[in-house]
Amino acid sequence: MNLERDGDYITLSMGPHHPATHGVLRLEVTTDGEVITACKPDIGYLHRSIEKIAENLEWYQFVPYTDRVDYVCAMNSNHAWVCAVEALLATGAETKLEIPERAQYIRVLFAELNRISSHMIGLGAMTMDMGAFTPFIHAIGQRELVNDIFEKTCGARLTYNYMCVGGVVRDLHPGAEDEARAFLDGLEKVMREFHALITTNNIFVGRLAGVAPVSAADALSYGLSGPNLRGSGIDFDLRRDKPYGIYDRFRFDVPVGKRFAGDRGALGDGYDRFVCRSLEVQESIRICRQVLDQMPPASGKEDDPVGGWCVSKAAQKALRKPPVGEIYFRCENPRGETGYHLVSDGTKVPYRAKIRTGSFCALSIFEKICPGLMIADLVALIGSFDIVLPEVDR
Amino acid sequence: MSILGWVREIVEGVEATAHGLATTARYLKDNATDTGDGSAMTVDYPVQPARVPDGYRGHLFNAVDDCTLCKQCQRACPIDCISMEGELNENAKFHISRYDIDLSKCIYCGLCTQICPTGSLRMTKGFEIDPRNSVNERGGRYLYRMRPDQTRRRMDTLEVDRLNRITAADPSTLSDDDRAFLSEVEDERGGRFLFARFGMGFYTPEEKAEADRIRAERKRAKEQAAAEAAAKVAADQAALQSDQAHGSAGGNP
Amino acid sequence: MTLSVGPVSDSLAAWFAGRGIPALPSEILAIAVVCALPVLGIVFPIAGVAQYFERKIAGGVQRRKGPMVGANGIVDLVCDLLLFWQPRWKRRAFARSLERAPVLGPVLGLVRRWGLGAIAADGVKMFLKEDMAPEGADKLLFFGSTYVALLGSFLAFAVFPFSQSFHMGDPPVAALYLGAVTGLVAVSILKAGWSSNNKWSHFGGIRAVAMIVSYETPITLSIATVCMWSGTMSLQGIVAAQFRPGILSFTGWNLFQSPFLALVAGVYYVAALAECNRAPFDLSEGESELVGGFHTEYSGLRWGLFFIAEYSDMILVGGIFATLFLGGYQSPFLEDRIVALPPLAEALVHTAIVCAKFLASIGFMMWIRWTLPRFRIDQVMNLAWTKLVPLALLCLFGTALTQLWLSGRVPVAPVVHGRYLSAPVVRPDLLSWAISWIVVGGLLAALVVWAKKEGSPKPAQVRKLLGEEGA
Repeated sequence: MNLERDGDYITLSMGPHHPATHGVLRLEVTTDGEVITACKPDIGYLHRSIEKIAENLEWYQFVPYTDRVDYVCAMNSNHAWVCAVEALLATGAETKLEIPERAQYIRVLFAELNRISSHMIGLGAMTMDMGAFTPFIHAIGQRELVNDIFEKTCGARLTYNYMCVGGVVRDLHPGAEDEARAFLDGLEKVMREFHALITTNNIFVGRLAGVAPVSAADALSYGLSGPNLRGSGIDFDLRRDKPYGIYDRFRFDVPVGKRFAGDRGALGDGYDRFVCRSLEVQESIRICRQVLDQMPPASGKEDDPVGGWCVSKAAQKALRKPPVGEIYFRCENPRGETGYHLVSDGTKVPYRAKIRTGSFCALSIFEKICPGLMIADLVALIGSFDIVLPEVDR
Repeated sequence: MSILGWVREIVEGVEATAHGLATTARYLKDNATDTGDGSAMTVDYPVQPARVPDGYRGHLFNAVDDCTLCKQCQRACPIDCISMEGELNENAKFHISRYDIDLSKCIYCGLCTQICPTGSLRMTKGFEIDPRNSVNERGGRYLYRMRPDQTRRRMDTLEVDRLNRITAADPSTLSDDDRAFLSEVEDERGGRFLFARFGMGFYTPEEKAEADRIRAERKRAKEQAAAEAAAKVAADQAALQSDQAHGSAGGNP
Repeated sequence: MTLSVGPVSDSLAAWFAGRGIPALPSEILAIAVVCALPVLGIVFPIAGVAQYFERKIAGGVQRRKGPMVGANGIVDLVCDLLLFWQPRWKRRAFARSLERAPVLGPVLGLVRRWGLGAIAADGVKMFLKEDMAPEGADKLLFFGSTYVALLGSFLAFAVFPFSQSFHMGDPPVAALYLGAVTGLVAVSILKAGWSSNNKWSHFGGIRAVAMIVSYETPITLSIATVCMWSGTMSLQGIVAAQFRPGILSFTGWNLFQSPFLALVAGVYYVAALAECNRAPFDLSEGESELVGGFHTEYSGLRWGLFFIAEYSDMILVGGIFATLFLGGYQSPFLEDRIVALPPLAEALVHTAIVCAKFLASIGFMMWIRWTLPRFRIDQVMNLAWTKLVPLALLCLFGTALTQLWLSGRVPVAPVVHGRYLSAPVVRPDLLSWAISWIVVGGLLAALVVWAKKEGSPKPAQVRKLLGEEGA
């Protein structure tokens, strides 16, 4: 076997086929056998030119593509796009859309349910990378229940295409609210077991505590967002600080990292991010319950616009001639901040749609914090940032 | 590390292991005593049927009897996988001759069904690619198209119904005629291409030319008949008038 | 000169000689049968079926069904071969009708319900996959490492006692021999990792060697403790030292003799998990990190042999654990009645008992695998050198002290099972045994409680996650 020797170091290629890189990510790792001295991410294996495709599709046609920007939390991606387009339309007086109340509540409910199911993958995949296969399966089981609810409402389990400019496509299926409540109750119980099994397990904490802590200054300067930012101790959540939709009507706490691993850990290490995500699941459950309590009932009329595009003539008209201008709209996705920078030239097709995602910025900090880690720690690190490659490569 | 710290680490390790083992033992017991009421996480597909709810976005189906060929679905599709053509048949009736959805491109987003004004285009609960397994709205299991050279093959209602009946039946009960018909519409290796064809009455260019010719002939015949009738009426009129004229001139004896 | 590995091969050679085969070949044949039988008859079948049970247990823990492969493929294949002139649909229809046949039907139904076809599927898969070596691989090392891996565990089976007379050999230094040959596994993993021309496999190999070599020390210390307690290094002797007549034969087992021995049993089991590369110590083949680790580049039957080597290591380690601490092949109850049975029956019963013990041990290893996450290599080394080795040394010391204290209080053991022991066996009377347990157990418990009180409590948010009050 040839070892490319540069002094005493080997250059390894971790990926793009690798079980632990959460997608087709390639990391060029320079190591002396176990300790890493340099790590350079090599991305682009999942690039699908989504932003360029947006320049050829009409505003309403792009929603299925936003599903694929981050398919683990597709509802949140949908939400971000439709909110951005509605905000763009709101800059013009004639094109401002009135979104039905019930549609707003359904949007928040589904976005939060999707946040829960996305964190199930985030937490579960991380434990699987650590070698504990059982908690992953149980977390995925809960995700399946969320997908069952989504499937009955919108017909799909992964790429929902459920939100549209002006509202949502269909109303909730009959019995959805009861199913959601039952799911939330069951989820609390399962998550307690999950945490008792793995989150407080000595071995698991030992794998994550003190591993590559990200300082608050680094987190800010590299553009981290979401739980990655909050894990480093910065208290910022777009839903609370710059609310969009109707998020200002709900009360919820924002978990912030506080060196949860105790003496073994450091502020901003993998364990802090893991616990922040777990606590966010609890907060999402809280928001969902408030939504279910406050949601206005369906009116029962056949043509009651839940705001669906095919129903709402106002939306159709507005999208044919949107106002000229640009807008940057930010949403809190489970993986961080998803921002859409839309440039409109007044036609029914966007001039430019730029997608800013949390995972891309999270990946950018790897070169800085990887030196000194071991290879097993690198696997833990990728999992703790909850990086998914569709977001990174788009 | 102090001795107490050392002891504590060992004890914590043992505790974590014991607690984990207790939890997984409970999972094992729950799974062993599972009553199969659907609370299990997995479905033993295909022995057990897949749980597909109503409103599932499966394969598309267009009931072409109701379709008006407005082409809204073609415009709405983000992938441009729908194409259609319509013509007049020999009875001068508007007829969809081709309605194709390329199911290998379709992303099952449902935008086309959202925009369809008549509701003829809808998504079914079928999701299995093997057409022998998916059931279409008419109860048959044949939703996909076959060989490319058969893209222009004409299939009238009777043949489509026959195909539905054949594919819904148990293969061992088919007659030889049915088998021959099935083999006609199948690839040599039993392969199928992922086109969905719903048009009821396909026209080859020759058939189209024939239909145009028949239509033009009937139109010409109709015009000729109309012209002859008009000529006859004119002739009668002329005869009447000339009779009147003659009559008035000749007078009655 | 007669060649023999014990009374069983003697009687077998006599039987062959009685059938007309000359003396030397019959002895060699007898030895071959006796040596092959445990490996081929016990280890291979268990290793073949073990993957099915592993997957089923995994499914059980994860609330799913595990493998559910029916026998349809096999039945279809057999019908295709037997009725090759019929059209395909007729053959299939006949195959489906077999499910309603009187005897075969319920059997096929059982196979389907338990998914037993997975055993056949896994086996056939191993044979059918392409056997290749990667480009630039060192062919000799690459192909040889599988055989060395198997050698590492089969050599140890040579001294393993399946019953009083059913063993391949009983050297007086069997324990020492065991410690020596189990290290071969490390060599084979390193060879496999290096020769694959794959950096990730190389990592797997290096990690494995570091881990196995480190964990040899606690294992050797535990074996030494038991040898010291039993007064002999021969495995049959250790088993004999645990013999107790009467209904409650399990009171003789080393696990219950002293708290130090119980602790040493724990140390041995943990170290043995590491020797087998089983979770939580499976970082040499860490699936999430290294895909397949040292065996990434192996496919087909070669991979199957590594896999069998791993399971036979598990069997071996479970068997040695049973031999050292659980009385070996002896039954927990009424052992003296079993000893009095005729030789063949005694051999069968004893072999069945030791099989049950190591199957339970394998089940426990599988249970642990699906519970615990994986260690990192430095944590593994940490565990070995800072925790297990001091603990094993402490227990060795403590066992020596206990033995000294007890040795003045009991008579020398008489001859047991017709075997001799090289040193007096310590047989504490009930009072001394109880005192030793209470005193030592109490001290340890006090230490544990004192240590736990010093620990820092969990932070409020983590308690909130667990649903505990006051968060």
